Amino acid sequence: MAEQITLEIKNISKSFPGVRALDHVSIEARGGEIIGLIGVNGAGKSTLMNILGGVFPQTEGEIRINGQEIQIKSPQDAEKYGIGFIHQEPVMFQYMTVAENISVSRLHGKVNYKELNAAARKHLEQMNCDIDPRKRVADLPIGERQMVEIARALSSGGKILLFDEPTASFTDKEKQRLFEVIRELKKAGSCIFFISHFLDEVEELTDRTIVLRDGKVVINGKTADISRKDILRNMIGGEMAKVDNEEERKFEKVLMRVDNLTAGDKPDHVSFDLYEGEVLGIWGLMGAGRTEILRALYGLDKADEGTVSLDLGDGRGLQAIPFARMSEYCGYVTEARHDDGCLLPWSVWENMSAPNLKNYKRNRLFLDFNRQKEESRVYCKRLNVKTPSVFTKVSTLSGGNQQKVIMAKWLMKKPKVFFIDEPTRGVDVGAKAEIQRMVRELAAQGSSCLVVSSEIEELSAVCDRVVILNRGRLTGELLKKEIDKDTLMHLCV
Amino acid sequence: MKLKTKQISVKDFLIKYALFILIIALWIVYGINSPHFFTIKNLRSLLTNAAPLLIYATGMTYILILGEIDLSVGSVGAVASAAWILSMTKLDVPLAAAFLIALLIGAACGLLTGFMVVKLRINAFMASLGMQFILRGICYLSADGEQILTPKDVHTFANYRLLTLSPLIYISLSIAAIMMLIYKYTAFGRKIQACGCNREAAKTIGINVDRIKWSAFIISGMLAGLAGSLQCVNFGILLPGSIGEGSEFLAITACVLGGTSLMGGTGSIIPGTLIGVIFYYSIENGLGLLGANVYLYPIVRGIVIYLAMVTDSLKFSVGRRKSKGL
Repeated sequence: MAEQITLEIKNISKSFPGVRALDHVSIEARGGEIIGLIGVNGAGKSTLMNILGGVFPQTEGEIRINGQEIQIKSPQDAEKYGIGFIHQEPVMFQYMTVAENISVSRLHGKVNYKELNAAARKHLEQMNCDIDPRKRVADLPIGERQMVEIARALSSGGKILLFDEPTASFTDKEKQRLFEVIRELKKAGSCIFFISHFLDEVEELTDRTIVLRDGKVVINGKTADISRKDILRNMIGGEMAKVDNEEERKFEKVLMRVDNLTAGDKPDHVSFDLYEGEVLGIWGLMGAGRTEILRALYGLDKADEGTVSLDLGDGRGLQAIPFARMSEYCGYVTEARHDDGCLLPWSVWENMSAPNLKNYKRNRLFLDFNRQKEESRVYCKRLNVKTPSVFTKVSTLSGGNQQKVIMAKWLMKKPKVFFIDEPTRGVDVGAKAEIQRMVRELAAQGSSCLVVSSEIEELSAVCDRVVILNRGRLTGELLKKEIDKDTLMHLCV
Repeated sequence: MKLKTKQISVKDFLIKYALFILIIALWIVYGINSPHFFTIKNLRSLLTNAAPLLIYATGMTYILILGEIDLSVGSVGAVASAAWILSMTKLDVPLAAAFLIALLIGAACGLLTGFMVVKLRINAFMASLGMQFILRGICYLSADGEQILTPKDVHTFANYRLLTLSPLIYISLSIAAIMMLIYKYTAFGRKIQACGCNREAAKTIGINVDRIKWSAFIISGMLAGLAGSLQCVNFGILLPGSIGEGSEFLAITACVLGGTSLMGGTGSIIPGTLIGVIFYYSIENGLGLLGANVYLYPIVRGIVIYLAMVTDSLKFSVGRRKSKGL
């Protein structure tokens, strides 16, 4: 083996406005080692990788390679220092060939395809891959695309390879293939970081496990010496907040029945019932297919299989509803507030009445603006939206208030079922409590809610029942009193 | 399983070669209905007429592969051809040197459009549309709104024959070939495709996307200058309102017909754009031979544009289905 590469990360911190994403993290890594990096969403794994990959610089601390301090200011810098970033979704030029993808950034002058293909083949063979370098990337399955991305990192002299949840969209076979390649690279002296949500993968593959929580390293030791229980406890940290002593509520009437819902590889044959007045939580790690369930139910993604039925309250019981018409009966508070949650340049009243315009008609042709504004004012007050007036643009409101505007717009439509995806991500503590209380109130008034959240506290606070999702499949169900962190983590990894 | 792959490949084949199939069908129909269609004389004039559009479309292919658009090329051609003719008539510049002036003026126009797109971050559609109006105005002004007869040299050039073919054919074909080679076999060409495929990824791996884009606009402008001048050769007269009029849209249509995606990332000049141009001119040529009403032409043009869009969207949807099936 040639020179051994060492990477030292010393006291690195990174602050974003209002958040300390990394807090004096120090890690040392050597060539020929596979390091598993785990932590819940927001623990700082991605931040650390992005610093090493040159996406953004650290606020404090230093990085040394072979004892020499380096500044990584851009992805090109990272490449120069031999750091290769293998993304979860391969970053590729899909209409170009494999060989071109591997070396396009280093081309100059005339292109000699023979040399290009030979170089690509060399790096692919290094990983025991027999992908034809002349094939277009668009024609490769996703697993092979990842191989191409690794080959690209290798061809630019990558000795430190960062894998960011590479298996998220893999089949089991592709996963094993990738693991073989990673072990091969380890033998060749590369230093490998492997981020994953799946503990079994980390246990199977890595030599060392590092657990991050709230931007700090909480475990750093040999994978073989660390028990799964330790990892779980340290991932979550602390004891769970006491659940309020609300009584177990009884539900009798099924309002929505989902049967065998399948869309692509997730959700995968998901079935559940939602009772009238119930708040049902969906818990799972990122990539488990939580949002995908809501999107398929709401008709945004095409479902391959399965049906949904609703009790429309007309005495006919449960009736099958086409997915495309679900939006008439349901409200959907989306996860990405800024992308698809609301119309940022519009005012509060315009946003609030947008999904429900047919109820605000003055006559056949024209809308009754006054009634729209009037009702918006009422709901602003009811939900305690802090806005100067209903004419204020939503883009100028704070995150929590934007979220309330979104909730209000669906409340005004009075749907049967609410889909709520990560309702309190990125909102402050006060607004968080109010939004959670609002969900409870909705349920008390007889609406049913389907809530997706990655925060266990939130689920135990608002939900009557939680179903657990693992890689697109439902793997368990817990009642309110049974919700606790250990159980949830065990069921989902 | 085997059957399924076969079915898909037949469909892919049909979509991929739709234009070839159409063009052959068209030729057969014309060949049967008009004895003049398959004569050397007619095919020669078809290619000569098609030469300017081929050059416009060659530059446009680069722009479209980058995922941009350039609506100014027609007017660039007009301004450059005006400069070409005027420098010969007013300043007595020899023909070849005047050609150089036309090319430089075209390149300068492309430089300006590129500047607006790359540096001022103006949307390419609007930036080049503005250029289209401005340059057309400049063309009218420089010619005083008059038609100007081309000097004798131009007629000699137009009537010159190499192996019985007009020089326009050689010029346009060799430019298409050179541009195709540059696209396929140089780092610059490969980077154009990379930028068009995935701009963010191109940036991350250290490609200077802005410089590539700017260069493509300059090339497109330069080729437009040449194409406009050649149009002038074909007309035998400088018509400030007609040279390059609508050429940008015909160029885009030819590119898309030839398989270049409006979303960027994929396309080819030979065979793609070349076939697209020949297809378009075959239709016009045949209509002429059949003695069709001239007012029919714009309608046929419109239909061809739809045809181009349908093939584009078919290809796109097949591609999407594929990537989803993975």
